Amino acid sequence: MFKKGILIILIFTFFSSCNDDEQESYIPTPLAFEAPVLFQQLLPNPSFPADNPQTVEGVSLGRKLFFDKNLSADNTLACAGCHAPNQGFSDQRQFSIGIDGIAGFRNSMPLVNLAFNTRNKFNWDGSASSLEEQILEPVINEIEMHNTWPNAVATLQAQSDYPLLFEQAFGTATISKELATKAIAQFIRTIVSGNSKFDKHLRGEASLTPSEANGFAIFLDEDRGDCFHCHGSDSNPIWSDNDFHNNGLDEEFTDRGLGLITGDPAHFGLFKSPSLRNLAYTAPYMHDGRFETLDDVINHYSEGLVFSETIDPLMKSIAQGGVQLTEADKADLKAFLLSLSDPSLANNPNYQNPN
Amino acid sequence: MKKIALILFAAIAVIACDKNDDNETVVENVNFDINFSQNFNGTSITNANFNNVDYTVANGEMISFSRMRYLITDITFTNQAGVSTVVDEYNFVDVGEEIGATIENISLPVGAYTVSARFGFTEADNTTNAYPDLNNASWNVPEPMGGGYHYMQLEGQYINDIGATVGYAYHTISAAQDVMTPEVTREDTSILFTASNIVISNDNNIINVKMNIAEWFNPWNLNERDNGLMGNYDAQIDMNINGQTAFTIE
Repeated sequence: MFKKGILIILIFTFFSSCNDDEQESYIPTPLAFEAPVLFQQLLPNPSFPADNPQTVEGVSLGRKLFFDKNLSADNTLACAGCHAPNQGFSDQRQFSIGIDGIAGFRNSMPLVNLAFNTRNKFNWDGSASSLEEQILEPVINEIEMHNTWPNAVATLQAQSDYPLLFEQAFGTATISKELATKAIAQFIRTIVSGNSKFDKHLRGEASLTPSEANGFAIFLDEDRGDCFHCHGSDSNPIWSDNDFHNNGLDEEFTDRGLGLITGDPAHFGLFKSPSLRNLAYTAPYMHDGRFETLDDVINHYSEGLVFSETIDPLMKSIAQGGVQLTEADKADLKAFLLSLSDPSLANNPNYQNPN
Repeated sequence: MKKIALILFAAIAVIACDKNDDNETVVENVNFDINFSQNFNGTSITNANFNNVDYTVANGEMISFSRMRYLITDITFTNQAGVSTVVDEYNFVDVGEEIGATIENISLPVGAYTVSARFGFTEADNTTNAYPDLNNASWNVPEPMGGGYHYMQLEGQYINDIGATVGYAYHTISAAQDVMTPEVTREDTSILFTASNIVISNDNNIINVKMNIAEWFNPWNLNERDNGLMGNYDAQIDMNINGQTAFTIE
C-alpha cells in the first residue's frame, strides 16, 4: 500500500512536471534572417532584441496584425493603410488620414530595412527608441487609429483565430499590447529592400546608364551634391545615416522635430535622414511631404536652402541658396536616385495582406 | 605498491614546487581603462558643450561644435623589454552620441610602457569597406575621393569676417589628389603619437588620450577654408601638420 502510494505520487509528479515544462519551455520556430548579399558584405548583422527574437510564428502573426483594421477604434484602418507595400511601405498622400478623417502633420515614413537601424531612433523626430515602442503609438494616437490598447487587445482576444496564433508565437493565448507590438515588430524587421538597379550594378548584374553614373558621381562630389554624408553610399546601402539634420527648409520652425522630443533648442528643426531607397514609390518628400517631386527636392538643395540657427554645417553655399547644380547635373542626379528603387518590393509575397 | 605511491606523491610534489617557483617570477596583471577626451586649450569639451559659439581659435574666429567624431587606431603598449601588445585595432569616438569614450578592462602586467596610437588609419589599413561598423556609421570616403575612411569629422558654426554665422565641416581624410577623376591618388596623413614611461599599476589604472581641438585650428583661417575640404589636398596636408600636436597620452 505504501509502495503503491509512492508510485502514484511519482507518476503524478512526473506528469505535472511535464505539463509545466511544456508551458514554460515552449519555443516557437526560430526564423533565420536573410539579408541581401551586399548588406551581408558591408554592414554589421542586425541585432534583434533579446526578448523578441525572430520566429516563424511571430512574423506570421505580425504580418496578420499589420494588415488588420481591427487595431483601430472603428475597425477601418490598419498599419498598412498608411504604410502600403506598393508605396514603399509609405503613403503617397502628403499626410495620412486617421479614422476620424483628420490629417496628420508629417509624411508617413517608409518601413524598409529597419532591422538595420542600429541607432534605434525611430520616427522623423526620434521619439521612439525601439521598433516595439514605435508601434505602440499609432494605435492610440488620436488622429491615427484613435483606439486604446485595452480595447484593441479585447478585440483581438475575441477573434476566433488570434488566441491560438499568439499561443503559437509566444506560448500564451492571453493577448497583450506588448506581445502584439512584438509580433508586428518581427514582421516589419523582415521587410528588406536590396534589389534595386543600383544593387544589381554593384553585384555586376546590371550597368548604369551614363546619366545614372554621372548622377552617382554628383551624389559623391563634395562640390556638387555632397549627398553621401547624410544619405549613405555604395558602402552604406541603407542610404541613410539614421541621424538628424536641419536641411535648410525653413527660417522658422512650425515643427521642431527632434527638438520637440529633447527640448534642446539646438535640435529645433532637425529631422531624421530618410533612406533614399524606393523614391520612385514614396513621394511626396521631406518630413512634411512639402515636395511633390524629386525635381522639387533637387531644386531645394541646389538653390532653395534657407538659413536658420540650427542649419546643418553640411548645407553649403547658403547665401546662394545651395550648390547651384546645372540642369544637366540635376537630371543625372535624379536618374541615379531613381536607380535606388526596388520594383520587387511591392509584389514580394512575404509582404502581402494575409487576411 | 606503497613504493609506487610514494614515488608518484614525490613526483607530484616536485612538479607542484616547480610551478610555485614559476609563479613567483610572474608579474601581476592589472585591469585598466583608456579614456578618450577632448578639450579646447584645457577646457573640457563634451556634447554638453555643443552648439555654443564660445571658443576662439588662433585666427580669432569664434566657433562652436555640433559634431565631433574621430578614429584612433593601433593602440599599442610596449613594455621595457620591447614586447608590444596591441590593445585595440581601432576605436571610433563619437562625442555627440557618447560612443567610444572608454575602452574598458584591458589587462596587462604592471609596469612602465611606451604607449602609441594613431589618428586615422595607415594606408595599409585604410581599405574601402573593410569595417562594417564604420560603414554603418557612414564613415566612408567615396572612392572618387580616394576611398577608405574618414579620420575625423569636426563640424559646427563660426562667426566669419563680416559677422555672419556660417557652418564649417573640418573633415580629415587620407590626402587625395585628382579627386573625382579616375586618376585619384591618396597619401597617408594619419598621425602617430606616443608617450613613454606610462606606468600601469593598481594605483594608476586609467590611461587618458586627450585631443586638444584648438590645435587643429592653429593656424587655420576658416574664412578661407570652412567646407568642402575632403578633396582639397593642400588643406589636408595643413590639417596633418596642425594635428601633430593635437593628441597627448597621460
